[in-house]
Amino acid sequence: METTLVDRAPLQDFVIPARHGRAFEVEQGSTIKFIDVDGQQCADIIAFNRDNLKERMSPFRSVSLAGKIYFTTGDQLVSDDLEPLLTITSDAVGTHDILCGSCSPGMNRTRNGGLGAGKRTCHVNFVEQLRQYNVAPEDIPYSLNIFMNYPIGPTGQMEYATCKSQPGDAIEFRAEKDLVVVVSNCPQELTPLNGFNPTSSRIQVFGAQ
Amino acid sequence: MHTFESLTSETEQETVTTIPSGGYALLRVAFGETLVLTDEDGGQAAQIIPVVAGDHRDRFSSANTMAINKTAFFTNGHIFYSYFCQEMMTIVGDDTGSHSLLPSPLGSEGSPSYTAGQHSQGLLAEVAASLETEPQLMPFPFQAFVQHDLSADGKVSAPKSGSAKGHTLALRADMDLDVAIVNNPFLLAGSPDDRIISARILPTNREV
Repeated sequence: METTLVDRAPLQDFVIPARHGRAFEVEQGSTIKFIDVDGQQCADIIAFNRDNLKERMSPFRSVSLAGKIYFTTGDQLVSDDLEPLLTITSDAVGTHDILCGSCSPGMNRTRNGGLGAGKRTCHVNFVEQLRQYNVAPEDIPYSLNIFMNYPIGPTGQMEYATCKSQPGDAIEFRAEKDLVVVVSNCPQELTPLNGFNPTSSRIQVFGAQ
Repeated sequence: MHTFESLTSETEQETVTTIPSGGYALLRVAFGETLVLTDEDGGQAAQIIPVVAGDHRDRFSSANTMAINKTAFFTNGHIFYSYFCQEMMTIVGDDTGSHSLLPSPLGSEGSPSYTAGQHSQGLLAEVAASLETEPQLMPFPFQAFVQHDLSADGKVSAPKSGSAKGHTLALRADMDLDVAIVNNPFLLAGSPDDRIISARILPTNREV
């Protein structure tokens, strides 16, 4: 489904540098547009009810409600109590991961040993951005991984592949509540996810129509 | 904090605990010990939630477990990882052959599967209270004996049990753990509510 945001001025418009994240707040009804500036860049997105940070996005409950693991236009990201938080309203790529959570120092250590030491990760980005909201590191929910190409075969096997997104590809979400949203440009350069070259992304927030 | 039952004694004799349908057990499994679950009646499912003993902030992570093992269906040799990617348990014995970590579809609101799913969350909330964990911080559990089909377009089938009467699943603890085992009749909508699952812990170095 194509965007309906043509000729509208965004309320927020910023670039997230490669390997970094950004927290921002949106009002119910707003549209969040994530733009992959250079292509082949995946990003992790999480969300909280701004007025009750214990109400958090739950990828697993979202999968249960949708009955499927591949999300695209029309699908909803819900909370642990099945409350809608974000609805995908436009999706240029159609390939995302919702099961595997975010990369972290522990995951880098487990998968890559010393090679992973000292590298930025999505979980580190989330910790940094959520410090201002007093969210503890262990309380950070799992993410929807935008444009992440990690398909699952019929016998359950998974294998990393490079994001399919091209420069300028975008996905749009409608906020179903007033939210705190955090987006992390995945810093992974030891797997093929980002083509071994993490790049920046752009976020635009449009007010409710 | 809740006191977790240890099923091993100084004489290393096993103690078996039975978990009725709708019930749960909270067990302490020490590093090197092996937790063995048995589907006594067949056709059942159980939820397993390991947390780090003494620090429940680090708990089982289905996301990390799938990402690192690169699979959604688990059997011998696969490792459970925690939220901070610590190795928690290793599957060292498996009669069923495959256990799915995919979330089961709820179906439409008001349907039997939806109602069962909500009841299942209610049971997990009770377990959360026993673990002194807030409900929204309860991890998505490991689903013993549960199997799903996954279509090419990503649709998840209704869950089924892959276990026959007497099937066991053996998990070696790779660190000191507190483990909640839930005999959850709501995992499989329509399953009988009178079946039991048993748990025993083998001491360190005793083979399954």
